[in-house]
This record gives sequence, structure tokens and C-alpha cells, in this order.
Amino acid sequence: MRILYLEDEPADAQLVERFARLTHHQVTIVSTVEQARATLENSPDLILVDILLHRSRGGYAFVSELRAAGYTKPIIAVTGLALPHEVKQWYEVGFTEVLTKPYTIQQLAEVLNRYSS
Amino acid sequence: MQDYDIQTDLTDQRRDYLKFVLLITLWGTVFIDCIRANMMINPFQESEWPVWFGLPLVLASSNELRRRGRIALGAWVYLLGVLAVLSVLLFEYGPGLDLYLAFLGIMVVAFLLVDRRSVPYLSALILGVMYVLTVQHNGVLPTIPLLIMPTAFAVLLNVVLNIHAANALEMVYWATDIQRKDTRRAEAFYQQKEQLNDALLQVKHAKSRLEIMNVKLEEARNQSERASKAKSVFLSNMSHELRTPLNVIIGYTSSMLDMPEMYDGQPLPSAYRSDIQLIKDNGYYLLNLINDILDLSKIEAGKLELHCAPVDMAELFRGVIATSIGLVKDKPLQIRPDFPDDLPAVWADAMRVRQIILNLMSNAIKFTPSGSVTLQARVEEGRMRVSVIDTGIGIPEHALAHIFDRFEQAERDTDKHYGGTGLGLDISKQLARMHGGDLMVHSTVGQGSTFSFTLPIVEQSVALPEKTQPAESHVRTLAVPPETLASTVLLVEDEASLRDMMRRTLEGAGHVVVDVQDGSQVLDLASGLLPELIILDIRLPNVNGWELLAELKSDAETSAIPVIVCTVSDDQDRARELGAALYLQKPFSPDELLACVEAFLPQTVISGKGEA
Repeated sequence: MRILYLEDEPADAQLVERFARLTHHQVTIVSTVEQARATLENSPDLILVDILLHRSRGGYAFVSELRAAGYTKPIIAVTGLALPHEVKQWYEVGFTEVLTKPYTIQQLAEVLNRYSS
Repeated sequence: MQDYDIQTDLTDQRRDYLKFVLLITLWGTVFIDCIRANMMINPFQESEWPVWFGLPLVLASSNELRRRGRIALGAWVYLLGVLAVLSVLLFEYGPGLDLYLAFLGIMVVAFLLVDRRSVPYLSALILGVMYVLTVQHNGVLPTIPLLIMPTAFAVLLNVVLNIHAANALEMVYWATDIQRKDTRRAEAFYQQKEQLNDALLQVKHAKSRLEIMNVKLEEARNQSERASKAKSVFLSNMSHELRTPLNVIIGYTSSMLDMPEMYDGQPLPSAYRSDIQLIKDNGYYLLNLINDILDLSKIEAGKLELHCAPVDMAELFRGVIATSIGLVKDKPLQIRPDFPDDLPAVWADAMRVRQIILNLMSNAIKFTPSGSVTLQARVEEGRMRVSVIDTGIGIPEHALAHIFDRFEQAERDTDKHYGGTGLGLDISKQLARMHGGDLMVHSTVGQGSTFSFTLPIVEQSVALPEKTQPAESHVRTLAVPPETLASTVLLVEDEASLRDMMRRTLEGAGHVVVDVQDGSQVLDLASGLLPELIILDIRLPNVNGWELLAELKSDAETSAIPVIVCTVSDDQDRARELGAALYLQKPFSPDELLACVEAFLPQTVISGKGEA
């Protein structure tokens, strides 16, 4: 499975990258929306998006834009913006699922496994 | 505006009459004197002097009095003066038509000048003077016409005067009266207008004051909205900023502890294990603290809304017990469900009620080194009392009053020992109050504590929905995805690593796993939880697995639950005999386990929002 992960926090990115490599997924980590747009050409199977990038909600805008353009593949929010009304907002803009930080490696595994089949 | 005064007006009128009469008389006198002078009559002749000198004197004094405002006196002086002059002439020359006409003229003048009540007397006086002087001069009464005509004239004059003047006066008085009333009305109107103007002014003032106040209120409201918004933004930022580093702590420690594959298969050296676990636990402590603070700030801002619906409590209790068992860890502690099967539904916010009960359960487990923690429910007086009863260390009496305070545990140093944020009871109490009840506590040191609260029971007529799901349970953790109908599996296995593998495998497939390491609680849990499946290890430290299986199958409540027996020995026949649904021989792979389990559990439903 090709995974695109938009994340500006290197430590978080590294954890996902390590886990995904273990399960033989191809992970591309990008830290800006521009890079993410460019990487979309590889047509990833799953996109993970951190919503707050460099102090602005770039991830949110990115996904809203993607969904508006008719993108239908699963997109998972991986974010620390986890208040109930915020999570509701993420589902509304078109995220398939929300994985709130902090998560355990098991929770990450569970989510990725669900989409790898 | 002044009242109209008829008297003033009459006086003014009399003054004008008097002036007019005086002028006429003056010109008349001059005219007569001129004629007399032309006739070469000596003014000093005895009978002529009153006309030459008397009349001007009378006229002058009357006019002087008139000028001074003494109108009445002036009029009397004129009338009596002229009467005297006429009397002298009558006395001297005897009666004649011209003199009689002069007497009648003065009577008419009297009518104009004096009070009308005096006119009859004055007429009588004038007639009397005329007749007496005529008699004295002629020795006989005047001829009939001369006698009758003035008398008739005087009578007629008086009659006309009385009738006419009375009517006229009446009309004048009537008109004046109306005018007076109008004046009063006008004045009243004027006053009312003034008052209205005053009132209008006051209204204008009040309006401007109100406008000022509105502006201030608007400002205050904007300010408080801004403050509230700023607070929300702050809370959101704080939550995010704390969760970000926590993700590194919890994510990495959990992978170090549970996923050695990520480290080229090198397991974490056991010497580090407990320390890493400690770091992870403290990470969770901080996460709970964030959630509790957010809850409290919401409650305090009055922004926490309950999403109430009929809740099937038995189902909710089973979920809570499943989670609670996971909290027990290695203590000799039993979790006991104690509620009737036919529990009525309650009207409550399922997520918040779960939060209260879980908080009470985790507290009880934390403070109970051994014994039991019982989750009890009873129906009383239209409400359901939910109690969590433990056999723990108890709370000393002096501390009971403070345990609901923030950051307060019975002993200052207990938090080091037992952990916990110290906010849970405060939140639970407030949530219980929002459900119309209160959180109560009874405790005896050394014997244990009981925390209880009540929930309103739903009327029988309200139908319970097929499946009550906590609306926002996915927010805290993704262990149970939002739209999954999870099955509960009771897992009995004493070997830790195997149990761990099985639990993870089952949870990975979306099931809720309640795992226990010995057989002592199995019967209680099976009847309390009514799991969809039981996986039973036969070799258990304290009880015989076969006996356990037999008991499960003989109990009416649990006999229908499929049991998968797993053990190293090959006793497939015995298992069948005792009612086991399947026999799984150790060792087995996760995939084999899943294949067995799937046969007995309804397919997990995951309806993703997009294309999963």
C-alpha cells in the first residue's frame, strides 16, 4: 500500500514511517501542502494528514480542497486537535477517520491494518 | 390668561357713555348759550346764570371725576347737577315742552350712566321735581298730556330697562360663564400640554439613557463573547500543544514495549521495561489531566450539554466492567456485577454516565488492594441507584467532606502512591447533578467505600432504541471505532504473553476483549457481561478448566454462550462432551485464532465515511 503522510512533526513522522516500513507499506513523508500536492501524482492508496501544519490549518484546507475536487480515497486525520467539536469538524470536511494524538502503536497498527486490505 | 370681568367691562362702557354724554351736553350748552347771546339776553339776568355758569361747572367737575376713575360719582354729579339746572329753569320760566323734553332726556341719560336699580328712584325724583315745580309755578297741575306723557315715558323706560337689561345681563353672564369655562379648559389644556412636554422630555432622556446602556451592554456582550472565544481558542491550543509531545511519549514507549519488530526484533531489555512503562503511564496521566481540565472548564462555563436518550444500562454496565477488568492488573481483586437482568432504561447521556461509572470504578480499583469492587444497580422511587462498592482502604471521616474538592485525595501523599488527577470525583459529581441526582459517599476506614448516584428511569411507554451507542465515544480513543458493533469476548488465559497476543489479535479484528488470568471470576463475569464468546484455557492456576466449562454450561444464563476451549493436550472429545463449541489446540497462530473466532461472532461492521 502506498501511503502519503503530511506531517510537520519529525518525531511523529518517523514513528509512522518505521511502523509502516515494518509492514511493507511504502510511505512518503511530506511536511508542506505543496509537497503533498506534488506527491499526489504517485496516486497513494491512503493519505494521513496532520491538520495543524506550521501553526496554520494547512492540512484541513488541503483535504477540503481534495474532497471538493472529487478525491474519494480514504484520508485519515492524525491530529492533536482532538476536542469533540474539532473531531466533528474533521469528519465533516471529509476525513474518513480521525486518529487523535496521542495514540499507541497498537492504535496506529489497527487503523493502518484496516485500510491495508 | 385672566378671567373676563363683566363689571370691569360695564365700568369701561359707562366711562365711554359719560364722556359722550358730557360732550353732547357741552355742545348743547354752547349751542343754547349762542342762541341766547344772539337774542341779546344778558347772561347775568337771574334766570339765565344756571345755563351760562352752572352747566359748565357741573360738566367740568363730572369730567374731572371721570378722569380720576370715579365714574359713578361723576355720573351722579352730572345727573344731579343737570337736574338742579333744569329745576332752576323750570322754577324761573314755568313748564314748557322743551324743558319737559330736557327732563326726559336726562332720564334716558340716567338709564345709561347709573346702576339700573337706581333708575326708578332717579326717574321718580325727576318726575317729582318736574311736577312740584310746575305746581309751584302755575298753581295747578300741568295739563293732562304734560302730566301723562313723562309719567308714561318713565314707566315705559323702567319696564324696558328691567326686561331688556335683565335679559342682556343674563346673556352676558351666560356668555362670560362659557368663556370662563373655556378659559379654564384652555388652561387645563395648557397645563396638560406642559406636563406632556415634560413627560416627552423625560421620555427623550430615558431613551438616550437606554441607548447609552444598550451600547454599553452590547460592548459588554462583545467583550464576554471575545473572552469566551479567546478561552475556547486557548483551551484548544493548550490541548493540542500538550497532545503533540504526549504523542511522542506514548507512541514511542508503546512501540518499545509492545512492538520489538520495529527495533529489528530486539526486545526491550527487561531492566528498562518497568521504567519505560512508567514513562508511558505518566504520559497517560497527563492525557487524562488534559481531558479532565477540558471537561471541568466546559462544566464551569455551562457549555457542557447532555445528549440524553433512553439508555440500556445493562449493556452500558457490561462495557464498563469489561474496561474495569483491564484496570485491575495483577491485584487479587474481583470485579462483581450486581444488577437484575430486567433493568429498566434510564434517561441519560450514555457517554457521561459511562464516564461517571468508569471514574468510580477506576478509583475503587485504585484504592482496593484486595477483595472486590461491585457495580450495583437498584431501582428505587422512580430512579435507578447506581453504586460502586469496594472493600478498599476506605476514607477517614475528616477527609470525606473534601474528597470532591479538586486535586484532593484523602491523604496528601496518596496521589504519589495511587495516581489520578484529583479532578475525576469533582467532574463525576457535577455530571451526576446534571442528571438530576447527586454523587454520595459512605465509607469506613479499612472496610471500604460506597459511591452512588441516581438516574431518572424512562417511562415504560418510551421505546428503547435497538442499540444505544455512546455518541462521541470515538473522541477519546479509537479502541472502539465509532460505527462498529463490537462483540465482547471473555478471554481466560493464565500465560501472560499468549494472553497478550490473543487480546491484540482479537482487538485488531474489532472485538472488545475482557481478559482474566485465573478462573475465579469467570462465572460472575460470564453472567454479568453475557459475552458473545468465551475462550477458555483448561490449565488454570487455581481452578479446573473442565469444571468451569461444566458450570458455564449448566447455568441457564450462560449455557448459550459458545465456549472455545484451548489447551496443549488433545482432549477434543471431552470438550465436545462438556458442551464446548470448538477445540483449539496450542500452539496456534493469530490467523488460526481469528478463523476460529469469526465462526462464532457476527461480522464486524465498519462503515467508513469514505471508501474503506
